[in-house]
Amino acid sequence: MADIVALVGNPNVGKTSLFNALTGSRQYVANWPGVTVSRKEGIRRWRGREIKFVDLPGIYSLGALSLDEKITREYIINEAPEVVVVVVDALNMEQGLYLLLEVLEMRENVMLVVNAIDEARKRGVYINKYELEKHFGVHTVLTSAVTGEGVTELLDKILHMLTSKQVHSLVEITYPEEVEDKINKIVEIIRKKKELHSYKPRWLAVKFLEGDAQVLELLKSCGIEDEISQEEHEKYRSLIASRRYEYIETVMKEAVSSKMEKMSFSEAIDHVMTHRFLGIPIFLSFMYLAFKFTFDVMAPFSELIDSGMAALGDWLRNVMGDGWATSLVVDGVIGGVGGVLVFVPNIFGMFLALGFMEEFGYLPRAAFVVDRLMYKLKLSGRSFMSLILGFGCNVPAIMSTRGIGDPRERLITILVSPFITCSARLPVYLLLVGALFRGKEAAMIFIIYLSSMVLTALSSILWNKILFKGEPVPLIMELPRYRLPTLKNLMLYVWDRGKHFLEKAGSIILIASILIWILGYFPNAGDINTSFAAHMGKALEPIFRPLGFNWKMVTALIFGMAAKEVVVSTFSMLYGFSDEAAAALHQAIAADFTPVTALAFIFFVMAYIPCFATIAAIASESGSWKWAWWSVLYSLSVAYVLALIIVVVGGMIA
Amino acid sequence: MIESFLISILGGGYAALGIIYIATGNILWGFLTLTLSAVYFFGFEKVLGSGKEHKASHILTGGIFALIASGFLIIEWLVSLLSEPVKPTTVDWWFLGVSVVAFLGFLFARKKFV
Repeated sequence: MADIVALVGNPNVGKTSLFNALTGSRQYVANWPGVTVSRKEGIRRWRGREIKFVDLPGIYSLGALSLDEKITREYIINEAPEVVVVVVDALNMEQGLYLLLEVLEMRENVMLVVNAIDEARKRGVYINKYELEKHFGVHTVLTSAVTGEGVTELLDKILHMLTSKQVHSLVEITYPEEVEDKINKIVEIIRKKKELHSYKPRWLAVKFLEGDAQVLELLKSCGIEDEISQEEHEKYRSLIASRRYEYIETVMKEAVSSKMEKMSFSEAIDHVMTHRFLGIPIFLSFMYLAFKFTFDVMAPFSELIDSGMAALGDWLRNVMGDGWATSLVVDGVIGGVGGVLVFVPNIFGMFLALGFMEEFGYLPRAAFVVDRLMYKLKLSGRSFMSLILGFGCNVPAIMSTRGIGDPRERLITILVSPFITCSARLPVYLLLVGALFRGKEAAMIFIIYLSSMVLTALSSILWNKILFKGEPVPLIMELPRYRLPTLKNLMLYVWDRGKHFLEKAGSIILIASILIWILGYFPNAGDINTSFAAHMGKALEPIFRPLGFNWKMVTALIFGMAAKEVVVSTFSMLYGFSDEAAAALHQAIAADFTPVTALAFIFFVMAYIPCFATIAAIASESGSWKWAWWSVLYSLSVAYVLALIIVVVGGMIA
Repeated sequence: MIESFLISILGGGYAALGIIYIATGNILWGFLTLTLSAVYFFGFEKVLGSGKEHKASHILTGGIFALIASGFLIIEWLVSLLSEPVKPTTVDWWFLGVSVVAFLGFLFARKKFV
């Protein structure tokens, strides 16, 4: 069986890069905190021994305030890995060393890795690892996960710890006398409890004094009551933290020497990027560039795929002749799946633009810039970071809320996440905007995305006023250094997110396309107006008549509940049974929609029922199906009202 | 001295281009160009104290911003050759010209201050 080695550290210190370097994995490495929301595992065989590495979510402390901290702490306690490697950033060591002290209090066999040593050297920062080893009592390795420096040494040191019988890491920090007295008393009581023997008594005692809710509960279940007042807990917490920082400062003075004179590149850029007045227009400009890239730059590639699909359809029709099988392949599969595949370049383009901003280190700055605005919405920049992930897919956005410590803020973020326009909705917008707003595509898409953000903001205000009153926890976040995006990491980012879209095209969209074809073709062999799909759409049409939606649009909305791209597949078939060319599809849509109806439809798609995967994610992350159904009902109501407003106001203007 | 000169030239240049873009109906690109202009002009915010470094940070950021925006424009033109080639307007050429100066400013500030 493989020995387990856990990687622990602050967010964005290069844990995942190191994990990749150690295991040969290809996990995407983000340049912003909160990306590893669940643990990742990889195996490495080193000098004949199998080692399982576990990459845990980035945390600032073991306080178990956020879900990330809980996951990490529980993993270290329950899974008891043979070695815990604490990774710290060479240019920002203090907070990482604080975490190291906490881990050292918790268990033995801990190692320290100082990562990004190459960048530190470039900036004139020199680290004496022997001093760190002396003061913390742990093996220390200086690494650069990017260049691979120190990785072999790290593997050898880990192997040494796994094979030697010694117990490593015995340094304990001494707290002020009044704290030590208390700790000793509590330790004595804890030692008498057999059920607590798997824990380090001193760690439990320190956490007890700090007022850690989980530890208090654990000790209470063993008959140890908390007789310390809240104020006293606060006092002990402060004394303990001060002593730890004091210790770190002393060590840093001896272990780190710096010759930094000029301002750093990141400092210089941040002075402007995070400026209180310039920050928001810069953010909006970058978002506009991203959407311009998504539409204008990627349009020729979409057209190429479009022509390819049309040619394939023509060829198959010639080869196969007329009949239901031809219609199934050409109208059903190529029309349905191909109709969605046409937008692959746009989706990959959007991920490329977002990936560039993330890789460059801009996205955390955007979170920082909008934090003040978010605070007014009773959310924080941390929520924004989760929401922005929703541009790709709402499911990881909802999963990433695990890093939000405040349960109120977390639940609101989960519930408003589906309003952020995911990549699945982009093909619907592109199809309708391309058909009805020619020449203004990039600007329209930008406005639609902005509107989805406004809708998210308004919803969070509403949720906060009605159901979850409270103040958000202020955002405290380390801004990562700016870095030039590497092509490899950028491609990995695009592929990681884009492949999900391709997988859907080959699975759910293919199945849905065949199903829609069956419902559209039968019972009268291709007469769409008397098909089962027409009956279904026409049955619900009266509900949507005030919005100006005909039965074809209603049918598309029904199928779109499975996955939003299916709306496009449905249109491709319902409008394309007689003519498979995409230009004709645009013309057919332009003939059936007015610009107002198209806008109402776009906003309906933006807001209505999240896809099945998102509904399941809401249920699992909120811990209740009640919230998932509530989200469905709420989004459906919002979509209807929004579309109705557009139709009424648009009708008045027109 | 050279920092103030660069800020004036680039801030003024982008401001003029931004106004032309908006006047010709390209509102969003005009907004972007005016933001770029503001990035330079805010370099004059603090005249006293850490004046040169403050200005340098605005020149550096403006340079990166201009480089990214110009890069997007050039890629758009190149890619459009695959189907219907997009013709750059005179204002677009001016935007690229000013961006070359912005990039030179970036290189200068990077060498001297970072």
